[in-house]
Order: sequence, then structure tokens, then C-alpha cells
Amino acid sequence: MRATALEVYETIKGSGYSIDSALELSEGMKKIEDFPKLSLEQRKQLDKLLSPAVKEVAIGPKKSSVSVGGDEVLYRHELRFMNKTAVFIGIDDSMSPAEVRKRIAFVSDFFAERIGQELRLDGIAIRFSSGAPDRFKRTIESVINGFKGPIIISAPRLKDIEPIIPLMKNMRPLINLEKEDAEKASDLAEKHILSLVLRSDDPKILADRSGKLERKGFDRIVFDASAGGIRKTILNHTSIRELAVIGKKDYGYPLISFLDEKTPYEESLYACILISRYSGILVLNTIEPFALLPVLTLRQGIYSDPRIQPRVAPGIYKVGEPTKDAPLLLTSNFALTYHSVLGDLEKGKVSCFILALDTEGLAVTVSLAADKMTAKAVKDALERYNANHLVSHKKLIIPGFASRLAEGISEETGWQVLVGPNDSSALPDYLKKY
Amino acid sequence: MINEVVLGGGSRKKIIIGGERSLPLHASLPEKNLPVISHDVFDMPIHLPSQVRECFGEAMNDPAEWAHLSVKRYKADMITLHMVSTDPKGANVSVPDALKKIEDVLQAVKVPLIIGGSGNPDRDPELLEKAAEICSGERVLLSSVDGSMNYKRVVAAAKKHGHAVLSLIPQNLGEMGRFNKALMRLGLTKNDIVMDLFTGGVGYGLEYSISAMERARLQGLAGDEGLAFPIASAPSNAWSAREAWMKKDEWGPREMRGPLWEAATAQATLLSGADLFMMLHPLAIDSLKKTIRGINKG
Repeated sequence: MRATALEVYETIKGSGYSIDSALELSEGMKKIEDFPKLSLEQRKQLDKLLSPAVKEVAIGPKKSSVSVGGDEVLYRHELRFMNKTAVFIGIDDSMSPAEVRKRIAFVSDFFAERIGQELRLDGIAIRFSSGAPDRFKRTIESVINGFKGPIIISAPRLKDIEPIIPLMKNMRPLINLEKEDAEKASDLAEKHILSLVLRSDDPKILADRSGKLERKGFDRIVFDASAGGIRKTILNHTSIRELAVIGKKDYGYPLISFLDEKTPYEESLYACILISRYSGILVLNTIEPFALLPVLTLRQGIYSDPRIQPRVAPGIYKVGEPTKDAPLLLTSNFALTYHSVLGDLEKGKVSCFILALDTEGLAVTVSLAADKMTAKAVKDALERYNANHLVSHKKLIIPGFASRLAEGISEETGWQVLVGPNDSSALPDYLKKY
Repeated sequence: MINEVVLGGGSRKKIIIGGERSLPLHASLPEKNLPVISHDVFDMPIHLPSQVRECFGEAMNDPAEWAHLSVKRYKADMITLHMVSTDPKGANVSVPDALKKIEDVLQAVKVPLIIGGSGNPDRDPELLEKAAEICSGERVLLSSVDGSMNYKRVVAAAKKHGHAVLSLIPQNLGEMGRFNKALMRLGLTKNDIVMDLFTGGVGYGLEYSISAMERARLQGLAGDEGLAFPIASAPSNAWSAREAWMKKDEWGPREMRGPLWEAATAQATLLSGADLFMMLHPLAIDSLKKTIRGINKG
């Protein structure tokens, strides 16, 4: 387990940093690099003290690398899951050049926004299956030309990889040998800063092999513990994480999963299971948005920090295309509440304004109990966000749960207050009568 | 061990849920009882996404027919009958009229049932109490009770007629534990309660549900009597996500997206220990069944 804040504080004492900094370090909110005043000796000690149960491995060029692993816990509620699962899209060198170009562009351009965060794909995994070394080389060249992010290279044997290494200067790819033990590539990997996939369906064997490499000084390792079938694979993933978390270092490496399902739908579902159970890297074949969307959305949720109440910025938001007569609705700025209200209004095809009050991220009922949603707070918010410029009326619809505030808000603001439903799912019907 | 709860029996099939000794696949022990999926049936036409409506067509106008179709065509192991028409603020169907519909469903299918209210805390106690009476001997799950209603009436009726009760407290373990203990003090046994900590869809708070369920299950396994119950999960909530129903070309076909959203939600709560699923779309249900088989065999 990671060091406590006090243990960290013992190490950084005298550097001018406080116990708060120690807490940030011990909880992984900040990294050692964020504290320039630390001495070299302190850095070394901290490095040891803070090394996570699952080693953090960086793949890709320095400026656009992706880090995986770094985890400390079995369940997200115990701390949080650290580096979110990196999603790579597969390109097979047997594919047509047009398909290769399409996939490169897809990975580079894919973008969706959710709750103010970007959902993106992380990298490209190129696989040598054509049997023609020239074709493999050309495929790699077109990927490198069109894509600047992290790359995984899969090929049957070391001899297939050696000729393309010169192409990959400073790209720090992850190498996956499909038919030979990765150890064969360890000298090459050491020299060219490659990471290696170790593969076995037996966790014990993976640990033996990682131990041997680590003793040679090589630790840029990722495990592929897939075992044919979801049950054995997830049992492997889970026991590897359990052993890593109790301090068995040889098990403490990120997990990679190469998916091979029949349809995009099935691939998506399996990917979702693997995100729930410890895969640090997923290599997917599909580029169907319907299949990727749940994977990336689930990843965003599972890897969010359970200690932080997710909230939206307080303010007035537009739904649809509201005119000046459109209704104005009050809710909290707890992200889930806000997004539920928004979802229900969009579903009902309603155009209106939402006033997301700063309730410090508390839900409506809780914020009422905690006196965060008050008549005064509503008055201030209406003024701060220029409600009277946005709408031509002076009517505010408040959540049913907040009905006891109706009179107070009315007195405080001079606005007419209408009590809406408790649950936002009833809003579209309610607004029909508005 | 997590308590076992028997549902059904009497004139219908019997199903047992619960009995776990670990979270799924945190130990290689086989599960004693496989998780079960209950298919949603609503007692009046309500607004549902078109992808869902297409699966049931005309049958949606008659809950008995809908239930029958779900069992016959979609191989439902259980049916949840949501008596949404009884909401006094909605269709306001009287309790005696509602009971007739429950009676019809009891006759139409021979799988175990969940009888759900409209969520109205004033009407549900009366409805569930009377439903308990006409379902006597069939051991249904009365859904749901919480502190905002007169749950004592429901508990008394469940005891009298041999039913189980679903307690619903969203994502609050302390309150859930206290409430379940209160239910037991009223005379329910540890084998009469299933708990629902609320399931948000993917992207809509699912991760809170996951963590609430995992914590509840771990505490239950560690001996917390208020939380050692089978967990119910309603992935059908995923349909409120616009990613599930909204037509939007850049997201791809919603015919696939919708079921996928529900199935992905269900899989996540399955891995977090859920025992009993309340679901809507046949394709999503098939997908979850496949995952349940997959994680338990081979």
C-alpha cells in the first residue's frame, strides 16, 4: 500500500512544503515533479515510498504519451482508479491502404464531450498479419506519418520487429510478440526504450517472468493475462490485482486486453467488462461510434474520483433554442442532478433555461437540508447570471422538493415562483401546461 | 454469506437469489444461485423509446398480454409488473381496478413476479397491501418500500401472505442498513428482503451505484446484518440516457446503442454483486444472460 501523508511528511520535512503537500503526494493528486524545492535525496526516497502497487508504464512519444497502471486498490471506493484505461484501435497490415488511412484519421479526429470532459481514443495498435515485411513496414510508415500518439506493435516474432525499430525513434512503442516470449526482445527494448507485453494465461508464470526481467533491470512491462473466455480472464485479472495490492511486486504490472469478438456490439460489451475489471489497455477492432461510446463513457465514470462530488459550473444554461419567453427552471449544480434534468428536458424536446445554483455539488434535497439552496442564494444567482436579460418574464420554476422555499424566494426576488414536480422526468408534461 | 431469498413457488416456478460468499470472480468458487433477470411490464401505455416499443407492439396495451409475450417469446424468468396507472397524480386508477390487472397477470404467466407501485408514497402502501392479499401463496416481491411511506402496512401484508419486500434507498448505505434492520424488527426475516441502492445508467451516475453496491456487498459479507441482502438493480434506468434513445447520426444507429447502453449498465452492476435485474429491452436481456453464463462457466 502507498505511504500515508505522515510518512511522506517525514521525508519532505525541511523542504519548505507543508503537510498538505504531503497529503497531495500520498493521495496521488500531485506528482514529485510538482515540488521543485525537494532535494535529490528526498526525491529518491519519495520515489520508493510512493511507488504504486501497480507499476505506471508510459507508452508513446514523450509529448503525447499515455500512462497506464499506477493503481493502488482493488475497489474504486478505497481511493480511486488511477490512469484511465487506454483505448487503442487496431490496424492490421492486411487491411487496404484506404482502410488504414480511414482508421488513422478516425483515431486522430475522434472526439466527444461529456460533463465538460473530452472523450478521446488513445492510440493505434498495428498488427503484422500479412506475412509480407514490406507491407508491414509501409503500414507502420503511414501510421507514423498520420498519427503522433502512442503505438503498439504486434508481430509473431522478434525478427519481424527488428527491421522496423529504426522507424520508431523516440516513439517508445509497446511491443507485443505473438509467437515468442517477450524476453527475447528485452535487450532491444532496453536499448530503444520499448515496453513489452508478457503473455500467459497463468498469473504465476507472468510473475515469474516479470521478476526475472526486473532483476535484470527491465520493468517496462504490461501483462496479457487473457485466458480464452470471460470467466478465466476476469479471474486472472482480479487475482493479479489482488496480489499486486497486497504488495507482491512481481504481479504489479498493468494489464492489456486484445479483443477479438465477432461483432462491434459484443466487442463493446466485453470491453466494458474489462474496464470494470482492471484492464489498463484495450485494443479494439471496431470503429463504430455506437460501440465506442459506451466504452469511453463507462471509462470516464469508473475512473472518476469518488471523493469529489461531480458538479457543473453554476450558471444559467440553455436547453434547445429558448426565446425570451421560455421558462426558467431552478436546480442544483450536482452534475448528476443537472444532467438528469437536462436529459429529461431534451427528451421532452423542451426549449428553456436551467439555473444551476451553486449548491457546492449537493443534490436538491441534500442542499435544502444543508441550507445551500436558500431564497437568498437564488436571489444572488438570478442577479449574478443576469436572468432578467435572458428572459422577459419574472417567473421561476423550482423543484417540488424545494416548495417550502417558494414564498421566501418570491419575497426576496419579487419573482413569481411556480412549484414544479419533484422528479425532472415529469417536467416536459408539467411545462406543457406552463 | 449473503442471505438467500426465495421468490415464486405456489402455482409458479421457484427462484432463489443471494447466497454469495464473495463479489463475482473475486474468488473462483462457483456461484450458488445465478443472478436472475425480471422483465419490465407496465400496466398502462407509458412513454418508452421506440426501440423498446417495437419489441412489444400491441401487447403493451394489456399487461397480461405483455407479460405473456415476455415469457413466451423472450423467455422471461421473472416479470416485474409496474402499476404506474395507480398514481393519484396520473391516471389515478383505483386500487380495486388495479387489482384486476394484477389478477390477469397472475393467471397469464407462471413465473415469479415483482409487483411494483407507481412510486406514490400515499397510494403504494394500500396498493401493495391489497396486492399481497390477492397474490397470497405466490411469494412475490413487493416493490418498493422506503421511509417516506407507511411501509409498516406493506410489511404486515408481506408477513401475513408470505411475500418478500424490496427496500429502495438510493446510494446511502447507512440509511439502507438502518431501514433493513427496521424491517426485520417489524417481523420480516433475513430471507424476506431484497435491497435496491439505485442503478444509474452508464454516464449517469453508474459509478456511484457500482461503489455503493460493492461497499454494501463487502460489508454484508463482513457480517453487517443490515446489508447482507441480495441486491436488485434496474439497468432499465439506462434508457433515460440520451445516448440510449436519441437519434443522432454521429453516434451510430440507436437500435444498437439503446440495448447496448442498458446491457453495459447491467454488466457493471452484475460485477458489483447485483442478484436481481429489472430490465426492458430483449436484446439487452439476452446480452446480460450471455455474460452471466460467461462469468459462471468454463
